Amino acid sequence: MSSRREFLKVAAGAAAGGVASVAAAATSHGAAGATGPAAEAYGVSAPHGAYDSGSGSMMYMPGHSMIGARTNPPGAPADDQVEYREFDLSFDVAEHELLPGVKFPVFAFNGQVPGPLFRVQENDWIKVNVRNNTEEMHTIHWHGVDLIYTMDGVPMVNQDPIHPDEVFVYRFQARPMGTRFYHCHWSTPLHAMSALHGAFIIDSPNDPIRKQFPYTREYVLALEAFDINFTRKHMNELLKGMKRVNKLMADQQLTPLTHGFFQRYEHFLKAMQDGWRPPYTRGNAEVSQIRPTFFAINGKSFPATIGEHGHLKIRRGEYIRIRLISGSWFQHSMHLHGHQFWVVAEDGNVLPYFKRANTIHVAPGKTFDIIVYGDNPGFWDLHDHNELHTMNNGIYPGGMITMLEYEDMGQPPYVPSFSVNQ
Amino acid sequence: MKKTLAIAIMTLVLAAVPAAQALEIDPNVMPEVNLGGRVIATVNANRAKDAAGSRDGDEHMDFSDSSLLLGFSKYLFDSRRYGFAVIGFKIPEDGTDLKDDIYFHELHAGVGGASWEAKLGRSRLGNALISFPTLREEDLLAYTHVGNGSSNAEAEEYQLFGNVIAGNWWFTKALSVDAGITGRTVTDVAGARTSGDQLNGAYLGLAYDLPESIKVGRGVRYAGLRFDTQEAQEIDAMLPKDRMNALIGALVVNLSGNPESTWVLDLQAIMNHGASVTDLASEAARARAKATSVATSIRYGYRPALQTHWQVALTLAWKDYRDFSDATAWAIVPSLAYRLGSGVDFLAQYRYSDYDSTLAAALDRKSEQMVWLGLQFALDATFNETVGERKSILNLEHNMLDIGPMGGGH
Repeated sequence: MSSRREFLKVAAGAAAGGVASVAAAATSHGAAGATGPAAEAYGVSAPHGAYDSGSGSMMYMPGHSMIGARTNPPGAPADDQVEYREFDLSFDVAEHELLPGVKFPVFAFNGQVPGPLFRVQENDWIKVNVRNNTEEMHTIHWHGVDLIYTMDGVPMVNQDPIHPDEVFVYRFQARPMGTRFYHCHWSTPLHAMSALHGAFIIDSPNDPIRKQFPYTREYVLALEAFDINFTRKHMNELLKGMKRVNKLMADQQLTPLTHGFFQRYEHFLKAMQDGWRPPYTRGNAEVSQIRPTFFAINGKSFPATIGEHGHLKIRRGEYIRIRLISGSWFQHSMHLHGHQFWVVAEDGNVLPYFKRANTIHVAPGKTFDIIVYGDNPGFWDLHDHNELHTMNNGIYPGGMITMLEYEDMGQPPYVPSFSVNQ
Repeated sequence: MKKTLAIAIMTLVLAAVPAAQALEIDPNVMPEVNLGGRVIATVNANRAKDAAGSRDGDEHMDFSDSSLLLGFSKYLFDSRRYGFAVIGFKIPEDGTDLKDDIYFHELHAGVGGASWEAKLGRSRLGNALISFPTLREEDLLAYTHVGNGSSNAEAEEYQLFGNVIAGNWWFTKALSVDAGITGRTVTDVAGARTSGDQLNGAYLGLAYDLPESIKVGRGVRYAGLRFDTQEAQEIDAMLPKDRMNALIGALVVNLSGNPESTWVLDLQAIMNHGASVTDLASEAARARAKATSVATSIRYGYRPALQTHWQVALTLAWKDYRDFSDATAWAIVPSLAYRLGSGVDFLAQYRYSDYDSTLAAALDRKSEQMVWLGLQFALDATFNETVGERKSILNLEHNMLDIGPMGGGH
């Protein structure tokens, strides 16, 4: 039933996807065109004309449509020039269960949280065919991988966003070795965190860590924080806005004003002078309170981190490697009980010396690799020591807790009983 | 001694009241709170020609239809079922029987699940299927709603709202059946309320409804049919207790597929089988009379960069009282809302109404012109957003448990 208030009520604003993107555009070009002190005054001197924002987005090209398109960006060797390891990936809208009784909508790679784990060898040539099955735009940024500029996945900087029903082909060489990850770089605050992220592990036969600590088992733990209410609300607003944007694009009527993207910073300023207002301005902004209340490891909150979803296992005398990846908004201080582990790699790179610790602070965007030696049989907590993150919706225990279990412990001297609400 | 005992008993009863009012309320489970409503203030200029051809007119300030709504909702243990409550009040029109009152037009509680919703309390009567883009709901009330045969008051609140026990069931995300038992306000012949708690009617309807947020392209957004029945209560000897049945049909169509330049057609027809009345002189008689009415509007939204700058609408309405000759009325209403900022609009509207001779004699009005100029400040804010939306894209297109009340305080 249509509402009379809908006639009187004005639209909430342009596509929500433009919010972050306009801000990003303004920031990235700000030094060149902003009033006030020249960039040089701050000691940030760029060669004149070195930065040109290019010819603009293909979104606005007359007669252009991305529906059903397969985009092969330039810069990488052709298929017959190198031997590619080929992968298929997709952007999906999915409903994810964090733990029994709690489901929420997410954007997800291949419909799963986190996205599928990539395991490749250093210097492998990688080809990823990624299909966008959503009505929203996306990209993939290969975080910590030294790849070809055109494959870095930053929208409007390296590439156009991947449109609905488009297949985009990323080609690059996997290097350097180490714990890397990938995430969506479009509307990043929502997309990367809820929940377009996954691990990208580059192995090498020359890995000095494996040589020093001859481990046979390893675990990859993506650390995550979810505001399931914000995610739901924001996804709804995004999809609502994008329905209109996609319609305009299909009809070849989309303008930079509609989507909030401009070819040059000066065009943005001109639009402002002409009365256009970006969504972040006062009186126009969507005020979102982002307050994650669920915390997870590999898409599951305690107690769903235990049992079939895989807590960590070790045996006496065994080394295991744990790769910690932040897919989160927060720093997570991961603490392992009963052990002093070695911190062997940061951001995927082998550290010059291996520090002993029992707590490691994993900040947003960071990865750490740790080695645990099985020398203290038991059933041990591995958890975020920011205890606000070990709750499910404010109820302790929950969230970012998992366990390290000695498989060869035999009959334990004490077996506690668990409950969600102790 | 008796007095002491009475006081003691009263004290015990009062002490027991809070325990009887609610079971356990967990203060840690905050409800989602929706705050909605608007203040609409217009200057109205009226020029009328009576049946004899004499002209009269006046100018006045009008705050009516200003309202505040508070909606509360929370999930019931998980996201599959929810409970909700709405409290809302309106400012009645000056010059009506309710002019010095604040009228609680929404005061109900309800529960819902993935494919159903039920509510109980005061709410809309279900006597119209769609809303028209006039500044106020009552601007074409006689054409757009099945009238209240039990009320002889001028107050439109008695036409729009009443007690309801209502439910919806969704067969699919877009197709639903709704039904309700209704209680229309009863007045005496002078228009004073004599009863507001009776259950004296019912409705049953079927609707196909895709909200504007989903339906972007051309085509039908809403199509509905509803049967409405009421037992009009005795007002006086000329207006005895009587049964009234009405059939309502409505259609909303997107004429334009351009979301930056929207054209929407609204159409609703009411076939009121009504009751036999001897004249059309009173509100209740006109509500009861057998009548056919049609209202249609076309509205255009200018929305560059997907932000509404202004909207114009043209609404046409026609009604014929079938048992009387020369008893046709029609009206034409162009209206404009110009966005000054988010939720702040300049409003303008003109209405021309014309009445055939029988009706003109009954109303002592042959024709009428009215101009509205004014401002409105509308708000729609949500606090502690924890409950989903029934008409969200995630629910409608992805079949996710993202449900919540249909209305709430929005």
